[in-house]
Amino acid sequence: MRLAAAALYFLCAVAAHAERFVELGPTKAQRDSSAAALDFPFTARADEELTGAAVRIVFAGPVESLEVLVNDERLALLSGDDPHPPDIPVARTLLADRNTLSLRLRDRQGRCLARPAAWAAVRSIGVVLQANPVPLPNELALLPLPFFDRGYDASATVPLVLGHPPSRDEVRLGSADSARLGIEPLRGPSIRMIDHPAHPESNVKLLVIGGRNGEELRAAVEGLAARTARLTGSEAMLAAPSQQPPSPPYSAPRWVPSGRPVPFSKYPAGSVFAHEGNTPATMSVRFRVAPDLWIWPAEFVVLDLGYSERIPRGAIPPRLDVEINGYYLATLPRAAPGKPERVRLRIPREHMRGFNQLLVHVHYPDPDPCAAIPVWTSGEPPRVEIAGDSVLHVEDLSHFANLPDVSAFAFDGFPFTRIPDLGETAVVLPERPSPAELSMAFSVLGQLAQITGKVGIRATFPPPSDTPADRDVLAIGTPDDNPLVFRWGNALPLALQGKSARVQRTVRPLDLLGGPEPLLEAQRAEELLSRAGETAAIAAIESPISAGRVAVVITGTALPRFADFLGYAQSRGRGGDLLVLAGGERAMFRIGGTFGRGELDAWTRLRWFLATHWLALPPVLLAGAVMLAAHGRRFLARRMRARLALGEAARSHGRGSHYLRGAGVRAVLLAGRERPRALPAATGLDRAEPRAGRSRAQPSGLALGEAQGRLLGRHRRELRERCRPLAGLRSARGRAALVTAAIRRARPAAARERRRAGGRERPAARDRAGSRSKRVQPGGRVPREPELFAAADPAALRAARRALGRGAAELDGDVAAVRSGGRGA
Amino acid sequence: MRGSTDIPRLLAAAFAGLCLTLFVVTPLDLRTQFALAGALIAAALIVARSQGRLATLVLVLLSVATTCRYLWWRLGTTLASDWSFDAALSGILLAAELYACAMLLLAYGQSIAGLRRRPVPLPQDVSRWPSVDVFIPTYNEPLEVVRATVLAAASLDWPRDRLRVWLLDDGRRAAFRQFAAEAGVGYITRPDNAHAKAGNLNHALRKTRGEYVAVFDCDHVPVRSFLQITMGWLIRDPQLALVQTPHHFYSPDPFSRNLGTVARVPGESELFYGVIQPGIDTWNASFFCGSCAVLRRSALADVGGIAVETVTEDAHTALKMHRQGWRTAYLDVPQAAGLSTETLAGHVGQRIRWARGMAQIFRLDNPLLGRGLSLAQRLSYFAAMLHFFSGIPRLVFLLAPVAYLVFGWHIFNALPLAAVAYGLPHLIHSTACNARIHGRFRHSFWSEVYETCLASYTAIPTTLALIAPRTGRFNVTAKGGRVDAPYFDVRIALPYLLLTAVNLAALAAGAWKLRTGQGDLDSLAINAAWALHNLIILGAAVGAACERPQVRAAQRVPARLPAMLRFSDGTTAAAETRDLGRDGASITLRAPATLSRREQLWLSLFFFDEEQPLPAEVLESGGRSARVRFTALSSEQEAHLVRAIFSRADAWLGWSEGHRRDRPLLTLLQIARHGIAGVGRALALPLRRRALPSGMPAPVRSQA
Repeated sequence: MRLAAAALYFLCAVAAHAERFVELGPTKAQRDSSAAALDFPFTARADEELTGAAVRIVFAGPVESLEVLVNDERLALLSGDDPHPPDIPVARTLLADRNTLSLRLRDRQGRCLARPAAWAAVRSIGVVLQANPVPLPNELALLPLPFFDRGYDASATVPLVLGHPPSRDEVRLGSADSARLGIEPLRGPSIRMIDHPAHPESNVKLLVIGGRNGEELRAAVEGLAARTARLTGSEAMLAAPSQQPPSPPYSAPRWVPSGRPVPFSKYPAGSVFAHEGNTPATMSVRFRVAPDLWIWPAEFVVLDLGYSERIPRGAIPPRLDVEINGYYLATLPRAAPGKPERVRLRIPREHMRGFNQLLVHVHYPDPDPCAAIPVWTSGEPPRVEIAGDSVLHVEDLSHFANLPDVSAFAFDGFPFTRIPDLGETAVVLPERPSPAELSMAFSVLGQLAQITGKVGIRATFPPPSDTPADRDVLAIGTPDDNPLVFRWGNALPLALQGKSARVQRTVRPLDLLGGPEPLLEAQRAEELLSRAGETAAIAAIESPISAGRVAVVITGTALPRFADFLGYAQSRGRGGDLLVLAGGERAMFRIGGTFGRGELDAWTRLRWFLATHWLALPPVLLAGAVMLAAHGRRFLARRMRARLALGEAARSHGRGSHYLRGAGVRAVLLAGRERPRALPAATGLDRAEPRAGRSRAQPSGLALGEAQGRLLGRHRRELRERCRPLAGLRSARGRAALVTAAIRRARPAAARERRRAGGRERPAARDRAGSRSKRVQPGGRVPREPELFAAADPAALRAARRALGRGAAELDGDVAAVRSGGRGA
Repeated sequence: MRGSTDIPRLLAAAFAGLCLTLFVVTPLDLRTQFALAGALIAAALIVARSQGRLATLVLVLLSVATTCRYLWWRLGTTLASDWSFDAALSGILLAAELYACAMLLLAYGQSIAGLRRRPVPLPQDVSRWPSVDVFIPTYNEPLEVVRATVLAAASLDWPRDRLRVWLLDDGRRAAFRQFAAEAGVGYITRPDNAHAKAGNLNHALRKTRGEYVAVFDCDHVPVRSFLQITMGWLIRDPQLALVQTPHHFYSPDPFSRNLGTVARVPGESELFYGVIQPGIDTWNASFFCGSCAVLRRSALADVGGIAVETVTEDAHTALKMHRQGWRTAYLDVPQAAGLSTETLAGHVGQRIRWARGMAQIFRLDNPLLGRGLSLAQRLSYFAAMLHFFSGIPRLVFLLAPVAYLVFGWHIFNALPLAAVAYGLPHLIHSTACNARIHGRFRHSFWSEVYETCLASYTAIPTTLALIAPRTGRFNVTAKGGRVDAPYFDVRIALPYLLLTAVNLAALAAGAWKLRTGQGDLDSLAINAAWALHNLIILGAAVGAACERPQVRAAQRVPARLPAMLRFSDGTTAAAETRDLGRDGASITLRAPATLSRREQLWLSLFFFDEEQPLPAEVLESGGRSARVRFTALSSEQEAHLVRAIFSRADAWLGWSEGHRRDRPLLTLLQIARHGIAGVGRALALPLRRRALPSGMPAPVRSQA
């Protein structure tokens, strides 16, 4: 077939093996069970036909009697000590598309035998399959069949042929194609499936995507990526797609949307919600959420799980165990038959991942292993169902991630998959990428598309010299062939020199506030690297050219398959920035520091910083304590000095009038309008008082000094309560009369006491402290409260004073007159 | 805070507050929390090397921060989310813990700033000194006990015409009237006994006229300088209503005596009079303690006399005076001394009364509400009252380990390691800080012993008083009862024995659980440690119930006075007394001399420029030391002797010297040792219900 130059890609199908061995089990659970029979299903691939099979069993000990059946036809009865009995052939007529290999334990008499750990004697059970490939038509609707069978293969390696050392453009388009394998077919120009020239009339196919020139090639690939309908026929034309808007963040089709509560029924497909029958089974809900859902500082995520059971009368209800990602959550309480039950489960923060698997194990009590399967007399078998309106409450979690995080990259593609069409991703490959590097790139991009469910058509492939600053970077290669990796070599936790790798300590002093772990981990990594030969690593760092962006570098002395990086990796904690594959060991380390990216309020961010840099907490606490202690010491010293000071009324907490009473003052006259400076603004006696600064009042020689004035000011409310404002009286004479009467009232009492005491000294204006020291209180009578008056105007005061024949500022211990200075007599 | 109007200072204080808040609310995982706790303890150790007040305040703030962090963790993560029996129990434990933390914080505020008030000199002009009435109320105490007080009061240094001593006898006994006449003091009775001591005092207030009133319990003997020391403040500050001085006890309290810790561990009352009263004096919240104080009559009249609504009339009166705006003062100079309660039963009875009274005040005149008090005053009174509600929380703590060890109930909804990581720093910091602030006056963990002895007794009366404050009788504290032979007071100790048995059963159950593999190791370990701590405290409580005899009916007081012995043949010998009692003395002769037993001589004591030979006979002598017993003394001679013992102004000034510094861990071990010894004694002693009933005069014993 003639192919136009410079614009074509070939994808081949792998020829099927003629004969292969498939191991079927037994799993540990099966080995430990006490069932009387074990069933192992096996099938052929969709594009081949079984021509023969043989059952191969390896024993670990003597067995009494083991009956071997395929598709319920008894084939053989094994017994004895031989650990490697010969293979049991299976006739072709017995085989179908889906087959079941059953093993039943029997005793010597041939009866059903079930006892615990009966299967421990069986080490391995498998079938040797002989299959002929079935020639497949050139039908695009079969995709992805020639390359892998979704129901059969766990992984596949698809060779990709490019016309010549590919240009960057072609690599970009090739990456889109590699992703294409998992997606529903779309419309676009020129995709066709043809027989492999070397294997005509077989199931080895070539898939050709192309056009007549580079433009058409681009249109074909983009059209293929954007296509939503199935491809049919042996050839399909792919039209160039209309311009699609860039995907918003977190909008991957395969992810559960965040921001609103989503019931299970709306989850992307792939979950089993119901189970019928009384055999043990597992209902599973598999879903992906955004990997950067930020739960901290909360401890849990709440799962609102609904379920219902329909158990026929007389049957034993099952036990439902809920597990998420391998962590046991709860055993669900019994539900009333037919009535749906809801329960609130709390999933600990550390067990929520990007990809989650919520399993509900349905355990029926072990039936009599040898009994026949019951036929339901009441009509319906038992049924357990998970309600479709169950909700995992992640809607009010914000998006924040502690980057860089290699495990998030490896399993969830974060941070690249944040924008599903990879609109913020830049892939930097060497100028001349080797096949290993190319297939690493295609595998990674295929993985990213598989995670999001969308083809990453907007990823850019800039040259190593020109890296955009507004994108997260994925770089593949060694410092020798990728100039970007060489340029950033000092920032990476792993440095490659020829054939050896060593660890670079990239931790900053600020990061060490969280503890010395980065240094210890670097030590551990050194040890791992020193005893390994070939090394491959994924290293993630903060991009040296733009803060807040992540750069993931896949490098190594020999690049493996990307799938080799996945799987269990030894690590001290979750998340790291260096994933090393060395000497068959996988290990993850946190060598450098972290930064946070996302939307998080300042308070939580501050607490997160302190929580991860806990060595900053004692200085923070001590600083606060020392400052407050200094304040406190000053305050306490002042308070103690005040308490010990003699006779200073201003610091007392007693009431003003009380002090006056103690000092023997009987009545206080306050002028209403003018307020002497001794009284601060808010005596509250007269609302229309001018402010302190503008008062024309002068303190006269008062009984009440400045201190008392402050005191009175403090107790303005009390004064107001006790004041009898004279403003209600209209006539000045009336007011004067009232004031005079009050003073006269006060005076005779003072005069009486003076007479009784028999000549006491007249205390000076300020020396009240000793004024009463000699007098004995008559009968312990309490001096009355000083009467307070507010004269509405100074005129009344003047009149009163005249009536009493008093001088201006005289104090006789009974009456204290506070008036505006400069007025009156 | 006057200076807080300063904006930069406010900002600095706010920033400091933010720092502390951040520390309290930062969530950490368990390993980091342990590391942080260790770092803080190291920091506290470094700060503690400085002895100044700033360092003390920093340590207090560190302790407060750690306690707040513990509470934040406790309230945030350990509360059960759904109702169940375990949740109800854990709520009770949480309430007890909140009480303990509230008491801790309030106690810091009370004791952080001790105002060391010094006496102020009186005016030079004696004619300006005011008149004072001295009240000595009595009800059913024996005359023996009251004699010394009256005689000492009569010899107070104050102008004769302005001092009047009044004996207020609610028992209306003829012997007292006669004694009063002999001693030349006033004697007041009233027809009824309404409101007990408060009514007695109010009645006397109406009958007298002095400007100031000094009140002494009938067994608190004042020194001669009492009025001169205290009146200075009252004269200087006209708004001062009260000057309170410490109650010094010259006989050891039941705990010290029964456990044998007299010279090594500070007595039970030293915390209150040595730390708390000076501390709350800074906040103008010192309150009247019923005795050894001087009050201003006008202030008393202002509040309507001594309060009669509650049984702790003294604290209530002070509260009322504070509300009216009067100030109070506390002078930390012991100017009077009395006998402490004789037996643990007496002590418990006294505390029950105080607890009930405080609960009544809390209900009837709550200091947190109502007008007239400043915030610091409210909190100080609240702290004083809260202290008496410690019965139920203490019982909860004593019973808590049982819940898990015996019944398997989970009352603490958290990982045991997390409880250690958050709770242990809180305990360590608070213990260390308290040891620093008041280590000289109360050693660590002894508060728990005192509280434990009272817990089961005060729990119900305080609760009843909170619910129905107006019911309940006034029970008089027994004074002057005598213990003549050692015995174990099983009646008082019954609750302690029950609690000990319960905790032992809990330990045994825990051991059995460990052996059979139930329960997890962490929880078992923590609960077992808690039960062990309870047992240590309970052991000391049981030991405190083993009553030891008062060897002497009349206590000896250490006193070094110059003395002279005059023998019947006219020779004299110079000597110095080592201690003095009303029945005899120990003396050290300047030159060795042999004295024959029962030799009669005259002993002259030199003090106050007076000399009055006292007739005595020798009990034993050897080398330079001798012991004598006083034979029949006339009333003059007795008055002189009483003055020698009690009235010297410096009689009690060395009250807090000689105490060992507090070392918390060592103290705990010593409590354990005392407890074990005490339990051993309890098992060996005869059981007897009670001592001789009080009120009967104790005969003067002839043994020294």
